[in-house]
Amino acid sequence: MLRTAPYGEADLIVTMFTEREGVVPAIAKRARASTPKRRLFLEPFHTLAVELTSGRGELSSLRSAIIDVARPHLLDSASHLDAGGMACRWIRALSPPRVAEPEVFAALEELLDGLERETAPTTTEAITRATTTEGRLVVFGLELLDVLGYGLAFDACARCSKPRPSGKPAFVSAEGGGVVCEACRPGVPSDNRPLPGAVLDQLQHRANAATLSIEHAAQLLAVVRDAIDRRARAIGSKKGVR
Amino acid sequence: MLPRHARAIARLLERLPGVGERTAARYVLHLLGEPPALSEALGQALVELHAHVKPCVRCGNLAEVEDESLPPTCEVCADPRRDPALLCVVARVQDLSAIERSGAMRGRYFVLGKLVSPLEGIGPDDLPLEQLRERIREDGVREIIVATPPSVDGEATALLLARELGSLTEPSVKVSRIASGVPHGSDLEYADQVTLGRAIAGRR
Repeated sequence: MLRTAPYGEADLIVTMFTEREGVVPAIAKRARASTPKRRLFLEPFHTLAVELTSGRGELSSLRSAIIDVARPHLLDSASHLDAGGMACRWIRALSPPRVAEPEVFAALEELLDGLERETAPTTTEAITRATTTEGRLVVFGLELLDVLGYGLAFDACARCSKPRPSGKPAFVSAEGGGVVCEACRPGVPSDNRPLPGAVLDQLQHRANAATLSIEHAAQLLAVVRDAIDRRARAIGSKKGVR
Repeated sequence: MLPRHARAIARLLERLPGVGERTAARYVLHLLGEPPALSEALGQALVELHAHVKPCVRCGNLAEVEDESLPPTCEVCADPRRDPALLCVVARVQDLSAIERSGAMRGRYFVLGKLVSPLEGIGPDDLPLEQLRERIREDGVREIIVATPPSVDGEATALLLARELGSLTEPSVKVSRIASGVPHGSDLEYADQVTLGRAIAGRR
């Protein structure tokens, strides 16, 4: 579930991200006046089993919605709720309606499952958990950008296509579209700190959240957020997804 | 089809929550079928609404303006029998009214006006946390009951309040959250996994 908004006397307009049809807007009739027996479960972060039928115009009609995979522990952590919310906002901003994106669906489930699995933190675990959460978001964001055709380049300069030698550190720029070489960098705003070559090598071959350090995950998350925000604005979102 | 003027009123009524096109038309037709005095009284009451009812300066609940020279204060805040050390934080005035109907709350309230929403990007900066801290200091609040709804937004807000207020030392404040579980008179069979899981985790 990506969004719910009241409509009319007792209905809801819902925006869902489905495995088969991608982002689907639908009307849930009488959803705000349903009895417990006929209640639609419309909360985010759980995987729902839904029954949709063709409605009038662009809106499908949501007949039923029950929990398929519950993620109750995710609700106990503010940072996990923030991370899940951010991922859903990214999908809402970038995914075109009614285009199946099974890779993004799988990546979202992996992200939410990962957040759910992480247990309550102790003092030292809290630091690790925060890192992992940011790292997971980085991995998800990169996958989302990749699948939708906006992927960041890590193997070569995104501006001049000069290959980046394996193991060589480089600056990364959301505006530039990935790593930028020394020659192209003066014209492209980027973070002042280069990312180590080993990290860029990992990203080139699909990043693993667990291998990203606190510092690098935070640095990369800023780049991913910036890249998604720029893309959202480019395709018509006035407010972006900051 | 309604005449132009009646249609304009129906359009305005449609902007009210829970009122759709048909209900709005039904209201207009009902008013037209009643003596004009009803429409006139309703119109006059609506004109005066904002002058007579304002948010309580202390808690955000609705307050009757008795004296325009004084800041509006609601019935709950003005009631000396209420325990000032016990504060219930709710999202909306409707939630405050619901808790009042239960008769279980002997303290006072603070209405946030909105909830943190991870899905909509509404964060702590959008909530009146400084006003809440001020209220806690002024009234010497010792316990806060967070009564936000059992939804993602409600949970996110409760976690934020526990973090922001649980660390207060002057005065030190106990922060608790209303229990969540199966509604009275309902069947367990129709409860969802999350609600049932929480009901069992919070058993007593």
